[in-house]
Amino acid sequence: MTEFALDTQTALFIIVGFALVWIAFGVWLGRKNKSHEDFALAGRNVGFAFAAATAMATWVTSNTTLVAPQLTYQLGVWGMVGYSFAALGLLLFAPMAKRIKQLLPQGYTSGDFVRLRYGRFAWAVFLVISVVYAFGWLVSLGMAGGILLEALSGLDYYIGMTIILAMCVGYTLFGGLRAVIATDFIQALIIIVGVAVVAYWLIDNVGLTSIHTELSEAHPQLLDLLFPAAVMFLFNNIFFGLGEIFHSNVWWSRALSFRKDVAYKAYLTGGLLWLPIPVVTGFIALAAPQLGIFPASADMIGPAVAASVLGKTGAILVFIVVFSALASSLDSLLAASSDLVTQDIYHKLIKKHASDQQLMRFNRYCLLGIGVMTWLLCLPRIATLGALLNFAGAFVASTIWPIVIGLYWRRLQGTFAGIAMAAGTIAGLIAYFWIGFYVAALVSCAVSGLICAIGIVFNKRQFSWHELQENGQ
Amino acid sequence: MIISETAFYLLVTGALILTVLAPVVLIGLFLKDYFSKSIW
Repeated sequence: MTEFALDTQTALFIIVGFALVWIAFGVWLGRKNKSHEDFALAGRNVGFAFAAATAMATWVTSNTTLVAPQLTYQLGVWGMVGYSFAALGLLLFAPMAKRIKQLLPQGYTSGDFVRLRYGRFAWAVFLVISVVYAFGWLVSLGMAGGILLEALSGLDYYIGMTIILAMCVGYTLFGGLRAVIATDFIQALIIIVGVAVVAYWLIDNVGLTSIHTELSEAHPQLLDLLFPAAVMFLFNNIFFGLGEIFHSNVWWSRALSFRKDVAYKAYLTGGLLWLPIPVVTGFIALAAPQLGIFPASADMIGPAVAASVLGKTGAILVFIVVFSALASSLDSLLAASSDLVTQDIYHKLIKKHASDQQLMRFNRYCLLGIGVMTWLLCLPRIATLGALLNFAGAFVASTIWPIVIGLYWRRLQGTFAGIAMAAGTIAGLIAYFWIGFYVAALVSCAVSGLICAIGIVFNKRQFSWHELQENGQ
Repeated sequence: MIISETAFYLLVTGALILTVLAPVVLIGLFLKDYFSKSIW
């Protein structure tokens, strides 16, 4: 027996097997993609079951399965409760999704909305934020794949990371959003069942009383409800989650792809289904001290506990669960980012009269290019997953107010929206480096909100919703 | 202020029960969409 929970050959067999099955599934689903709208938005006709599952599964990322346990291990009970508050993003996005479908029935991306609502300056700032966030998240997911495989099986980081990326690019390239959503449904089921099995085993074999007693005696700060950094983290995480969902094309493209009467209830259901999962994954980490598990890297605490208590079966289970969680987010982000580049940059700036087939072809090349760039950025392991994730919080939280106000009120104009996003991001980054990761999103959102408020007070012009309809829409 | 054992128990078991219900909800929705031919 090696020092790893899973032998390298088994891990390689699972990952290659999964890759082949998913890519074949993507090819099969891709048969229905006749137009760019089919490829990018699954024909704008996704039903309730797939819509709710994809909302939930996409939000269950490596962050939920790796970072939620890590933060619980570091911040205690508030780590897992705070993480679960990120469900607010999905819940609050539900009415927004309905509004998006009303305002932009033929829209493609979140960039479309920002460009038409606020003009080119705010659009440029928004695209910079979107690109930084998308690559931050993509790299965090790619790295998580490599780290996970290496930690569980000893498989070389570069090989594991490469296979996961290649698989997600492969099936998204062939199947488009249809493949992303269909695989999300299956991945959602795998994730939930796997997480529940590990948590149940811990409760049944180690016991909640025993874990509580051990933590009370040896690590009381992990059960402390007044842990200042953890309380701050809770609020920061709420704003981070709101910023991620409100601005990202991952969620906008889904809203636009869902059937008209489905968007609202799908996000609401997805959010409610997601809410308890970080508490369950976080709890797994709280059992670590009781079991005498102290991994070298905090972001491997969840898999380390599961692999330890369930042996080889547990290692395989965790491996498949985290692999599914990674894939369900990676594919979504690849598809949404390539849509954004295709629609906002290629179609609106470079080739305004591109045909439908040209758009579909460019979208596929773009997806491949983003996959290659992500792979290159994953080669140096630049940061821990938590650090990378929270760094992006400074960027995305600045978009919350401009997006919400832009969707519902007519008073805020482009210049102030652009300045709000830029200044919010800069302030968030300063807070990140001077104070700590747990305040970056908070500060970014507060500064952006203040500038938006000033913009509303000084603005006299009312935006006309008809301006959101482009020629031909 | 340390979270009590009862609150800790309720938090974790409540979350686990809700998590277990999720696949039931998703499969139920899928079957409903499948039989009404409204998956896509």
